[in-house]
Amino acid sequence: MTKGHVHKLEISDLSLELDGRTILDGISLDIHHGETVCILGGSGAGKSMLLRTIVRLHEPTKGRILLDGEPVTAMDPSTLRRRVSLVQQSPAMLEGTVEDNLRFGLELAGIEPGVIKERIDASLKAAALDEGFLGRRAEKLSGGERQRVAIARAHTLCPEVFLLDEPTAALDPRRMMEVERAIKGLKGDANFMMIIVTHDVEQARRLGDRTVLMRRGRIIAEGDSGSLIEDLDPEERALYMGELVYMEHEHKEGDLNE
Amino acid sequence: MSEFDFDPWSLEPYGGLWILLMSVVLMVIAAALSRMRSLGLEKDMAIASIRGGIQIMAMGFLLYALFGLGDLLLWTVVIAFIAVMVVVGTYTSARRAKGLPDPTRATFPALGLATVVTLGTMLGLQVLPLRAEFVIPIAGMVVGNSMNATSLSLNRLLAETRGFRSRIEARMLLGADAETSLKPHVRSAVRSSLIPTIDTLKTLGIVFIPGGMTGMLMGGVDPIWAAQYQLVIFFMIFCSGTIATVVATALATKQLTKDGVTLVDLPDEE
Ligand SMILES: Nc1ncnc2c1ncn2[C@@H]1O[C@H](COP(=O)(O)OP(=O)(O)O)[C@@H](O)[C@H]1O
Ligand SMILES: [Mg+2]
Repeated sequence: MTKGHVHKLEISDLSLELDGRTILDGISLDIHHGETVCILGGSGAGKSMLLRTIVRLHEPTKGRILLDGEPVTAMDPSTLRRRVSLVQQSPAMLEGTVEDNLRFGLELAGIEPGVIKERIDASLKAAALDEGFLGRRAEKLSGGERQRVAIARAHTLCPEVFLLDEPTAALDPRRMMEVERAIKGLKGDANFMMIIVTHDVEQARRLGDRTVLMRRGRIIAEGDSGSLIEDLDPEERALYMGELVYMEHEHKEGDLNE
Repeated sequence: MSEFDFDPWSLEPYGGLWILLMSVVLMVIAAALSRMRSLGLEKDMAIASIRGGIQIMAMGFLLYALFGLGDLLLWTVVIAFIAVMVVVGTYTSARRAKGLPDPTRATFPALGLATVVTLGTMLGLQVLPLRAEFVIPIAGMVVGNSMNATSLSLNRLLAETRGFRSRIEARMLLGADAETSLKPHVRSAVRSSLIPTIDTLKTLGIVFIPGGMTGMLMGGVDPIWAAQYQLVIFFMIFCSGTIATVVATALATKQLTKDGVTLVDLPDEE
């Protein structure tokens, strides 16, 4: 069902300034076909802004993002966003039912009605949702359910790259495992390239092939998901763990604002 | 009607100065009530009455002078008059659209087009006579109502863009272009701004007799003709309001999206 796939996503020397503030500062990162990269970092490190910049919700001040050599800024934004799908932090539901949410992108893309039904079924399955959800009002769903609807909704367009922003933040352990199951479902279903932003070191270990650590708009460490944190020098590690505690407080209070 | 002489300078009952002075009684009652209930509106009422009074009297004198002018000069002034109305409306509406990068670039074309199209067709179709005493007050009603509708629609569009930002972005992330992503909000902005006009039109003649018709009746015009003309005025108001809000929100949408790719950051509402 996938149309083809991206071999390489190349981010080089990417900077983003907004209102005179440096949000991203010289980010370079290469990701290859089939890889899942996790981004760890404290609150305000610029993780969300990096993902948003990749799909052109912000225009970079400097640097380039290349999809198989083609700069994303040269691509039609709709085409780009169909190929590279971002599931935002605490994703917003569209009006109407879960089915309306899943249909939206497909109808815009001009997919035939017969195929739409197939795609919706496949995407529900991929996101570990059952058919009973289709008629539910999307805005009435719980946090974990919304998250999975958002994943299913992104999946309908068969993207080649998946960007997930804190998909399990503010979820209890059981819901978290459900969402993780959905993410693993995506990975099994096709050979995606995936970037997952998380603040959970264990989750990075479970889901990522590689992990990148961000602070203040920069990448400060990069390595194997299993050993990255252990490999940091003690000072960095203490600092990072400190940020995590701070961040978890932020999430408990601030998640509804997003 | 002949027992009234309509003399603006008369201090006799029903004379111009008399009615001005006597009707102040009503404002005094309103101010007294405001004082009794501690509404704190007395000062505003006084200022508004004096300011509005001076403006409408100035308009009266201006029109009085105008109707005495020769043709060419008269029409130059009439056009200048309408232009001033549109410009004042442009800036008034723009103040309700703070946060748009360039609000007058949306409100000016909206009001200009709405005014030119509605007045133009009605003049062309020989509904509206080419006479200053018709064109000026009707232009005033058209511009004034379009201005209100434009303000309402832009205010609503900006409020929705702020409030539904993540939903708008969610649409964009599913492959919708920026304009399509804003469409439901443009629709509700235009609809909500036209609802007051539709409701007025629905209850026309039952709930209230509009000011224009009141004036015509008092001027001794045939009530049937006055009713017909009032309907014409309402159709003009409705049409110009629709044109103005559709144009204003379309231009605002362009400003809210950078090259159709990203949504601009709106400053917080003050
Ligand atoms: N629309 C915006 N305009 C300006 N600054 C922003 C905007 N959104 C986020 N920021 C700032 O960018 C920085 C990075 O934010 P973000 O990427 O959301 O952090 P996180 O790593 O927690 O996801 C923060 O300092 C935040 O205040
Ligand atoms: Mg974030």
